[in-house]
Amino acid sequence: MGIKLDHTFQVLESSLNGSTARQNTIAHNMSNVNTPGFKQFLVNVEEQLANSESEFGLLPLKITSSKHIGNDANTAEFEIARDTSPALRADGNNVNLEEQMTAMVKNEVYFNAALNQINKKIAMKKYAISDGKG
Amino acid sequence: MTLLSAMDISTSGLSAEKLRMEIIAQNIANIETTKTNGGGPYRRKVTVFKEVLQQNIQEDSGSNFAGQGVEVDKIVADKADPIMVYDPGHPDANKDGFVAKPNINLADEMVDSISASRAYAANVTVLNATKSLAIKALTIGRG
Repeated sequence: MGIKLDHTFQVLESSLNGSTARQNTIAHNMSNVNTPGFKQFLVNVEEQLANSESEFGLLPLKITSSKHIGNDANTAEFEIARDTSPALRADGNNVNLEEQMTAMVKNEVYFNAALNQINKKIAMKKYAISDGKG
Repeated sequence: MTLLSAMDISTSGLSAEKLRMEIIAQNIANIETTKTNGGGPYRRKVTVFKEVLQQNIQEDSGSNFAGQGVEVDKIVADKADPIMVYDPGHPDANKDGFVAKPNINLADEMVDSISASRAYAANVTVLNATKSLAIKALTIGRG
C-alpha cells in the first residue's frame, strides 16, 4: 500500500483546472470583443464543482472503455457554454467587457487561493514527514 | 487547455487589433489619394474579424471548449461611393470639375482607432493576468 494522501490535492487540482479553463474562456471572449456576431462563452467553475456527484467535489470521469481506471483530475470536464443572450450592440456581439474584466480579477484571486492551499498542504506534509522537526 | 494557450489566445487578439490599427493608419494616410494602381481614388479598407475555433476536436480530449481566439478573416474595400469635391484645377478632375476623393470619414477612422487601441489594451491586461497566474503556479511546492 502506498502512502495514503487525502483528496485535498485532487479537489484543489480540479479548482486549478477550472480556473485555467475560465482564464482561457475570458481570453477568448476578450480577443473577440470586436468580432461581429460573436457570442461570449461562460463557465461556472464553482457551481460545477459543487454540483458534481462525486463525494470529493471532483467532476465525473469520462471513460470510453470499461478497462479505464484512475481518478485523475486532469480529465475533469468543465462545461463551457455559449451565452446566447441577445446582444445590446449593433454588430450582434454580446461580450460584456466590464463583466469579463471582473471575472478575470476574481479568477486570479480564486486561482491564488487554491494555489496557496496546495502549498500549505505540501508544507504540512513536509512537516509531518520530517517528524515535526521541519 | 493550459495557461499558455490562454496567452496564445490573447496574442491572437493583439495581432488582430494591431492589424486593424495598421489598416486605419493606411486609411488616414490615404485620405487625399486620388490615384491608385487599380485606377480611381483610394478606397477605404475595412478589417473583418473572425472567431477561431479548434478544427479537429477529439471526442475524448477532456475539453469541450474549442475557442482559440480571433483572426483577421479578410480586408475588404468599403463599398461606399467616392466623395465628389468640386476642384476644377485638380489634374484628376472630371469634365464637370469634380474630383473623386476617397470615401473616408476622418471621424469614423478616429473612433475606430480608439476602439482598436482599447481592445488591444484589454488583451494586454488579460495576458498579464494569465502570466501572473502561470508564475504563481510555478511556486507550487516551494511554500
